[in-house]
Amino acid sequence: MALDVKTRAKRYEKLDFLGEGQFATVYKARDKTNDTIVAIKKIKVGHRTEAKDGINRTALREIKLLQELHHPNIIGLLDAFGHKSNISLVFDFMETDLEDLKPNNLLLDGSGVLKLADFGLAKAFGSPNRAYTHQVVTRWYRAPELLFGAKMYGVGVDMWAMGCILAELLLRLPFLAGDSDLDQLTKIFEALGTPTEETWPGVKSLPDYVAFKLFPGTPLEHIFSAAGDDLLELLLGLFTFNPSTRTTATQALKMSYFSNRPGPTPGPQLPKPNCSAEALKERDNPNIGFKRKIDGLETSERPTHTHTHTHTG
Amino acid sequence: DSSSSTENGNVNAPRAVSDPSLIARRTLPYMVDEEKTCRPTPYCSSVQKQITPCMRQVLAMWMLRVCEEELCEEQVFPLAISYLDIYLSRIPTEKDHLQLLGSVCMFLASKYRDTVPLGASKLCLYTDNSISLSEIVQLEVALISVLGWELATVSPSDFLEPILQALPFAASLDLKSVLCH
Repeated sequence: MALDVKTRAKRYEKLDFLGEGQFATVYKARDKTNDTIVAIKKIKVGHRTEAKDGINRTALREIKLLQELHHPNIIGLLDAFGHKSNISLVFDFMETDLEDLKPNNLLLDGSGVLKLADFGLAKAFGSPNRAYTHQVVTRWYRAPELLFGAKMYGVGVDMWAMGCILAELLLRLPFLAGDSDLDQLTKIFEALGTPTEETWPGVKSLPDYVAFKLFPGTPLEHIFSAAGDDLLELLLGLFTFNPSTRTTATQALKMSYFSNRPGPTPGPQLPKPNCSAEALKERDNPNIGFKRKIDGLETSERPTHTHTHTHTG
Repeated sequence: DSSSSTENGNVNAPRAVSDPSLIARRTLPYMVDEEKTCRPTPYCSSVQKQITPCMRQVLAMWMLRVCEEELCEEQVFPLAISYLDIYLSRIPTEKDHLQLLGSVCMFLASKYRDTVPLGASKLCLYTDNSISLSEIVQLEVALISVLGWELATVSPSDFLEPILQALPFAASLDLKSVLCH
């Protein structure tokens, strides 16, 4: 990955504006060398105060992690180049729109393969005792130990975020949408019950602990009325208050939800975001029965048929 | 948000717990392999015309003092030195630019490892304003390009915990105090 910005700028032909976030602007572009479509994420330099501190550090970390991570479920970094302190990252182009584990950062490619994106705040796993900051996860997906200012935390924060994402897929709305850190805790406790020293040993010793009203919580089967017992068991594990007993990724994958029949719809047969339900019906394929997990996800206007689709990505 | 007041950010920052995957024995050979890819070749008598080992030593001592004074994470200094050596093993440098280069190496290493990174203006102060903000920002892009964006080089301190954990008597030690030592 060299620096010559003039060569790079010539290599990519900007086609379309895709979106803008807090830290970056994303464009659709064509790589002239091999005629493929890519997404270019241009990191914002920001205010003058930030500009004097050079290259955006979250971009630095994102680049490093993406260089090392080669996995079918992680978005591929194709190139990176810089000009002055402007950094541009070149990614595989994804069908769905383009920090941390939240639905916006879960992309599907043309074959329905899930890709994680945005590693700006990710930490190299296997970095012992290295400093993190509180603001590691978008608030709605933030684990209660982070909201209480825990100084030590681990991969459990990602499992909590997974629980929130799963819940959001079921509800089709963010599950716990707090508008401040305090409101976030209130929303969590209203839904899941206020934790006590019995359910979460050590909670009262956390730096930012404040006593909350003792909400009894709502049984998960009432909130997620379309979810089966196996899915509720998974949610319950992910929404465990005590981080040291919260379900881990390894434990979760062994739970019956992931092995109970029927299995998930193969990626290429998933409906595409820009296809209407009518279009889906026309492509009716009676050989592919709708799968249970999809049943759980779709509470109302669910498309009743899958279709096969050649991928364009 | 509750945690925006981070004046002593690096000292008070939340810490990740010890990671079982790092302690696993398979990690060590991986780190040894990684180290090979980022090992610089000796440069003082080849690439460099002006730089002597003595100059490097003076620069390194100054960098260590800045990192200590600023309470940087312990990995920042070895990481900055590793950037310095990789750059000097590839790019002929004038001795007048050595302190600027050392500053930029700390600038980048601190961004990579510290919760609250060293600011460019603070680094200028440590050089008694002999370098400018724009020089730092310009050289940063050049340095990152010379490094090929490889910022997470393995430094000696990274080996401590996995080696200590692999020792048969490790369980009886207070790892935190051994690491401090």
